[in-house]
Amino acid sequence: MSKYYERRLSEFDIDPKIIINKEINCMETGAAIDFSDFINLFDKNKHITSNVAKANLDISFSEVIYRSIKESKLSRKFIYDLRFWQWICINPLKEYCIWRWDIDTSSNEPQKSARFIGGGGVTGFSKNTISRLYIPAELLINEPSTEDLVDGDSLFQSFWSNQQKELSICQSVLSMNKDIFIAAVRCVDGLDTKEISRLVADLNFRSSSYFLDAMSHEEIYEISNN
Amino acid sequence: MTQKIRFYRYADQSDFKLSLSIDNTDQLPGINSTSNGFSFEEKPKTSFKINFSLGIHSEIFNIVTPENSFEDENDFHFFISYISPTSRKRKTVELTKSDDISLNEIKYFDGDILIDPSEWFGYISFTGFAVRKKSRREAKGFLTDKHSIVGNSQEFTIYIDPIEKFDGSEIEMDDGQIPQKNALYQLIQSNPPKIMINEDAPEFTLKMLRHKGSGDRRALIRDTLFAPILVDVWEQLARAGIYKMLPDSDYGGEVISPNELAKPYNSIVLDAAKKMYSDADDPEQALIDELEEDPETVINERLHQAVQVIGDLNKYYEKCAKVYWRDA
Repeated sequence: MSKYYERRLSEFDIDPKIIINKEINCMETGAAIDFSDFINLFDKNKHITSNVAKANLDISFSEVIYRSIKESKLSRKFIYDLRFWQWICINPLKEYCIWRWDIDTSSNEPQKSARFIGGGGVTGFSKNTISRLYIPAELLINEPSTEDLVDGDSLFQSFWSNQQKELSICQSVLSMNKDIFIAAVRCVDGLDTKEISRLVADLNFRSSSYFLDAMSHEEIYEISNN
Repeated sequence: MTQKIRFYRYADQSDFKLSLSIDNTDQLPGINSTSNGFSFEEKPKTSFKINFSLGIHSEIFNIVTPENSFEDENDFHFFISYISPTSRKRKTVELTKSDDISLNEIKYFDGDILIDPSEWFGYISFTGFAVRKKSRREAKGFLTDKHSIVGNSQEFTIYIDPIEKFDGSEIEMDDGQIPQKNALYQLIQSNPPKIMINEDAPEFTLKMLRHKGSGDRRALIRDTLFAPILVDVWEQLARAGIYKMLPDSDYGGEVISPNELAKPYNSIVLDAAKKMYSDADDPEQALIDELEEDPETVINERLHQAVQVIGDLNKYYEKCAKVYWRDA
């Protein structure tokens, strides 16, 4: 059975070796997620050391974790529960998380614990290694493709074509709204890293004069391109 | 302190009165008032309904409508936007005109939502908005597009998980080795934070800091000399918390709320915000606003003064000085 921690972990609950340093209970989610496809994909690629090559694999891991969780019929209430994502990162997929960010577990220096426990607010879901992969897939993978994408054939491909898109879009509180998320992915299609940051900042600015939350992604896309 | 400057007509926030109430409070844990909302004493286990009432002064329609035109509440949608970054949820509910008859210039709009606490974490912020239903002819200085926001209420916050307050007395103190030779102490950032006194510090310094007495002259000197150490500790903790609020550089992210920080940083930063922006209606928002525009001023100029207030530096100094300088 897949689990979640009884309480949300903080940076003080995990030591530099990525081991929990306090007694914290795990609770059952009621679903058995089969991580074998994810682990097999990791086993095939764990010889890779280049950060760029690892980033290029994000799309494959994103799709695999999405399919595994969907098939498990996990209750929706865990999808945005960081305690569940913390459990995955520190337990079944810990080795992947260590590999993805080159974490040196033998060092006593403060580690990138945010990659396991997430952190505050929406940024936390983007920093947690596995929710970072899952959430874009959940929001984009079943969306019909738009005609004019240049970074891939689908919104999902376009999103993962440049790591900056994940950083800029997912760390914005606007992205918690699905329509704004989709519009943002469309808007940054074909842009370079600097332009992506600028466009997301621009969308943020527009949110002070347009009520984006009540708009469709088509409408948001239209005003962002005006 | 920063203030949002708009180059178009926008309703005054004082013309929006948002009120919230929670149904069936007898079946829920205790609820306490906070400066901008409510906090549960413990996380509720059952779903509960939140009712909204947004009172809008009719005067806003004169303010946001171009001259020689007429608009009233029927030309606008009224929404509550509710956001919880720790739950990764951002939703809206549209309000409907209240059946209650208003005898003054205030128009009321009502709505409600059901909250299942198992799906929500931390806090939820609620803000009321008036939004244009249709586009109208452009007019300089007015927002005329469909979906334009013409005004909003103050933010109201409900803490689903109780606020984890940090009390300075929770700071632990111990003797031990510290990395810097000849330094007196090291702050270990943990929960609770720990002050490690250098076990190799000079003999009488250690005697003074280990002194357990109270009410005598030795205790008075010990407390006075220890006060700046505590101020420094507050500053280090607040500074670490503030850095955690800042977005990763160049990612285009946003400053997060101190409520999203782990204990003890959350309450230390909130305390510092209250001291730094004591004149603001919402010190937490004032801190976020200034961090967005000028984090250096907050970190390098405001913070070190605010922590002196938190650490009661004047009180400890005066207590000592009045004994030895009374007759000077």
